[in-house]
Amino acid sequence: MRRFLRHRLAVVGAILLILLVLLALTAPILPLADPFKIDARAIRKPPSAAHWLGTDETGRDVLSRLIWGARVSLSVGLVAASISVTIGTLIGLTSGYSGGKIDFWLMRLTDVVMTIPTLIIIISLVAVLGPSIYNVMIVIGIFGWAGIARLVRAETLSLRERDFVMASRCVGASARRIMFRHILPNVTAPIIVAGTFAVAGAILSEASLSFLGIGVRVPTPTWGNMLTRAQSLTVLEAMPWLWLPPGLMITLVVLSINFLGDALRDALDPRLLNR
Amino acid sequence: MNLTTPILLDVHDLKMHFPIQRGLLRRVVGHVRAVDGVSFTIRQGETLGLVGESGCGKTTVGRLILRALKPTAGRIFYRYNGEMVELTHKSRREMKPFRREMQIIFQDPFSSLNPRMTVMDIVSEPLRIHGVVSGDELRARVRELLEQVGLRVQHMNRYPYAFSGGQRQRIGIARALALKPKFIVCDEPVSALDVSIQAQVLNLLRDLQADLGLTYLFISHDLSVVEHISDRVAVMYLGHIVELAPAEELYAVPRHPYTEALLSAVPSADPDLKVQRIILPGDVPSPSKPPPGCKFHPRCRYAGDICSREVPLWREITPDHWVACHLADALKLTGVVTS
Repeated sequence: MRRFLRHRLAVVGAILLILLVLLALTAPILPLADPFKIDARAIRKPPSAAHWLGTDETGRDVLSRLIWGARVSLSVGLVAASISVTIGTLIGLTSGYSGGKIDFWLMRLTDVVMTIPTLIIIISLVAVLGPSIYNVMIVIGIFGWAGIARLVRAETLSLRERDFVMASRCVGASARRIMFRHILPNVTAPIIVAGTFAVAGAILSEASLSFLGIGVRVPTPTWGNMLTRAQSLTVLEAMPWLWLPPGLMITLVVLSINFLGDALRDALDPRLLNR
Repeated sequence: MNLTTPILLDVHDLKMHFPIQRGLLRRVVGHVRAVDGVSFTIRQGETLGLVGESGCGKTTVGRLILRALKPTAGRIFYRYNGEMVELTHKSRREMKPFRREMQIIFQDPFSSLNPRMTVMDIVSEPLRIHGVVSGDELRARVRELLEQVGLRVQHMNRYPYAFSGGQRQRIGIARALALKPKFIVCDEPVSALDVSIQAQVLNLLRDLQADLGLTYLFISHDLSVVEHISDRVAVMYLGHIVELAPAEELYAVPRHPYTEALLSAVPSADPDLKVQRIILPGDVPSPSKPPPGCKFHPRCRYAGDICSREVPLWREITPDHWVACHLADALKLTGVVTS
């Protein structure tokens, strides 16, 4: 904990993330304008007292959509990252512990997943499955596990040669028990770190997909589809309140998560753990 | 201990060849002959010392007996319920009842304990796996085990990093004793410890042997430690046992030139004692390309023609004194006078 607090940026990032999560969670009870309410009299109005961040092309409140968008963007990030972490951990553990043919084929599968240009596959899959929040979450999650699997496998390879693994094998422990009771607790630190980066990556992927119009569909607000406005040159030049806030949010959140991950990596380094 | 005590473990011509794989297709280009035809017996209640330098295969022998590795060839018999049972080809499931009887103590007290488990979890794991006891009884048994190895019961919920090397080794011993085994492989149990702690742990192992009637295979590279604890001693070189004899006899009248060289290297507490140290020329040959004939001949100062041509037979030269050397009858080798 002390080593974590030494990272100033990470502390700032953590505070920012906590605030944002709180905002996102409390969005329904906050005194915000209805993010779906169309107001034909207030189209593309600049920021004012009534609409702090202005309104978009159908007169919806940008601030409100920004906060409601945080719910979608953050949950896509978290769910997709959890899917990646779960698959990656299972494959990595099995591959590293079993060795031999199982290891060989699982790693070739991982190589294949790694070499696929993820975004293109995701785009075509979403195109086939239809763009919904759930499809986006699942598809991003399913293509993000390869790095984590590699990491977990590498750790497992070194851990399984340790004497404590031999000791429990000598009392007759099952492979499953050794993997989950002995090896997994010793790889949690790198998994947590990789997991935070996976969250950041998933948020970015969702934003890219939604920006291209194949992620989460309007009217559901996400930071990605709010950015879509910036595709028009007039908006880009004359109406910065439409694209600057979501763009800033994405940048800030991804940066914060990455700082957090860096700090966690230092704080959870197993070589320094026993202090 | 005498010759009529029943045999607990019988190892016959045990071999372990690890394949060396090369290239993309993982072709097998050779084998490391880590253990290359080892035979010995251990009688109930005795301690057999197994000595040899690093890489001679002594640790592998221990792991093979516990079936943590599958031997390439050879047979392992163990006395179970009064009968000799072959363990060589038992599956993991079939091995389970034998796991309760045979345990291991490791060399490195740091890597042998899971850093993420408490002492309670570590010591109780064997009991849980075999479903021997549970709940309050389990805690009571762990408490008893910790007392048995001289640890404080209050420390039960601490993690391994809170303990010193000697204490960690005691935790490892408690874990090995959990299932009330009859036979324990001690794989260099004191090599990683300070000399002052070594004696404590050795005495603990001895006391436990007396109290619980344990049988030990005591693996070490330290001849003075082995002498202190063993009834009989086997000397290994390059995957072979070259000599096996009762401890005192082996130290006093070695019959194999390699044993003689090892003994000459044991430091003596008497500064006036002049020992002719035998320096072996060259290095230990690679176990993937062992020399023909007697494996020791390239470094042996007595070697004759026959040594490079024929593999010496493993024979009983005097009662209970076994040796594999062509010249054993002719040579007059120097031992050490033990106190």
